[in-house]
Amino acid sequence: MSRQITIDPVTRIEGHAKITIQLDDAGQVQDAHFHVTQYRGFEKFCEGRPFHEMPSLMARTCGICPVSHLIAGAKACDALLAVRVPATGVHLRKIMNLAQIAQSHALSFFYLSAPDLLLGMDAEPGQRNIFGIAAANPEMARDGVKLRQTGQKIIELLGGKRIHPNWPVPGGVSSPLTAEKRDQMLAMIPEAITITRRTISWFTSVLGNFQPEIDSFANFPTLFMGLVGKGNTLEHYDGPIRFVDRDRAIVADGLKHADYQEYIAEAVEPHSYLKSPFYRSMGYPDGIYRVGPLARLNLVEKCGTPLADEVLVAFREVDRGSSFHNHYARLIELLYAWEKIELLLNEPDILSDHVRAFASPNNEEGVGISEAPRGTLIHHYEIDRNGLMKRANLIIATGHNSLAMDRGVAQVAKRFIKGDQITDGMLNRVEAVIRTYDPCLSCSTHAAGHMAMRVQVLAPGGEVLSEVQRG
Amino acid sequence: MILVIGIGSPLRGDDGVGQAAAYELANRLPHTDMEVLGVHQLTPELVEPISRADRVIFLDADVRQEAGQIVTRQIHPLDDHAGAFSHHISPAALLLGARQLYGTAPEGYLISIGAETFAFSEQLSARVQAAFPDYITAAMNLLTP
Repeated sequence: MSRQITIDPVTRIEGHAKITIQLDDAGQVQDAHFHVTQYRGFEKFCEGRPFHEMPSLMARTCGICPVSHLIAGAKACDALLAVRVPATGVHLRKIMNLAQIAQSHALSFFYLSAPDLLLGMDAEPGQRNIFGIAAANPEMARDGVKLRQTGQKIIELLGGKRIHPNWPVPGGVSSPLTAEKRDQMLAMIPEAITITRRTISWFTSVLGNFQPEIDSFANFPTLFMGLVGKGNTLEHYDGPIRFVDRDRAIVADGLKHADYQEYIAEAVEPHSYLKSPFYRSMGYPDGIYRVGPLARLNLVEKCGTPLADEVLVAFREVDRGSSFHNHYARLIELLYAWEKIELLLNEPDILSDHVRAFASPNNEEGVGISEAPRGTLIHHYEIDRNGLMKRANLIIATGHNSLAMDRGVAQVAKRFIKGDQITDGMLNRVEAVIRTYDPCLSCSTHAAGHMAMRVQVLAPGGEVLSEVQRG
Repeated sequence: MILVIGIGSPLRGDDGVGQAAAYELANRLPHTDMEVLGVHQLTPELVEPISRADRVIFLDADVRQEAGQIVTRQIHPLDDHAGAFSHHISPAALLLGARQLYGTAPEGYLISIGAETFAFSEQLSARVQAAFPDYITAAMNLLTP
């Protein structure tokens, strides 16, 4: 008799989702899907608003990465204005974007994923949280707190507050940086670098314990997509789009942001509110691609900062197709972020008061693309002659990974779920593959929290054959 | 140093009373050795500033109390964080976290005020607004170690 297992909700992610696993008559996993069960509607309710409100309005999409939406929204407005943002404005936006990436990566690694990595996938569920880490390894818990604080503090120093700072604006940023704040930020960087290097050393020392997970956590051929910087380096703010395959061979390069609809198409699956973008010329679903930390490192030859490039050498030896290595890539990006912030803060013009360009709208359409912690973020706005929003299209970073997450759930379920004997460790691994992508589904400060997890085994008619309740 | 943490969303009616009270205290007592934080939720990284404080006062709305009713209770470090996530942690668990990670936990108090509505609004309900001066007084009574 075929049966279905439901993991609802998925825990330690941002937002609401569930996983269904279909078993065949022999109790083997036939198929599995990742369902995003919430709907936001930001694209619809911004219609009719003045375009210049868009960065701050769209920042409300997310309480974890509001800065990413501010940056992409401000860039889309730059395109509407057809202005060139002053160099200092660009540098300052980049610093804030990197601080955002750093604090989000710290949250993902230390708060959400380290419980599995430090305590084990089969550890007692009640201990798999930041306080479980505090009991087992207080230094690691302190490190997580410190790195998250550092990223948030930099955002606060630049934008006045940690969450929803309305500082990136169309044409640049709203105020210049002071020497006092620059020095405060610079003083925080050395400790952040030390902690991050210590964490990378620890992570690489335990990596060998997770070979079954490396082999099966969304480990399959896909394309990877993201921005690429000058000199074939990491880039999170601007630069052309590149697609590479699993072997890091370039599939498409130098793609313009404004033309994104020529190379990305969007499909909709009946089982999820998450859109499923794909690489247009390969069709659906063969055009599956991934974005985010692993993708970004797969795209480029080097990071572009000395310490990150040192650790990248060892990273090149790991299986680049496994989404498990998003954890590793996330730590390397964290190191890169601190180094790059330091470099930008030492730019000779960083205290210039020329941080914003002003203009009226000159275009009726504008596209803004940047790299959010979880991957490439696309904002596309259309306005009328009065500057009011006619239409918006957002492709959130997590959305690009929709197909890969769905396929990854099936792969890991087939590897670890064995019929009637459902253990918490098995279910945790099915969730953990999703956590490697650090999906941000809620995009809201109010939507997430610890939620009970319920697993049901259902008969084909829908009756519950057995049930496991956690939390 | 006394740490005051106002909890809640200023966009959700009475849920914003904690932050409003915290910033009111900062305005009234600018020279007090006091640090004020306004947060939407309690998050793990708060253990660090908590560990540096001699006393921490949490200000929060509570739907279980009658609207405007003010209750002050002392909080002790407590292992009630089973399932703790990135933004769902109790004041007691934060005190415990401060002790676990930094070896010290300050004296802690939670001053809660009964809420009437969490509907979208930047205004407090009439009953909570009427009780707001008493809420500030209750907090000020704890500002002297």
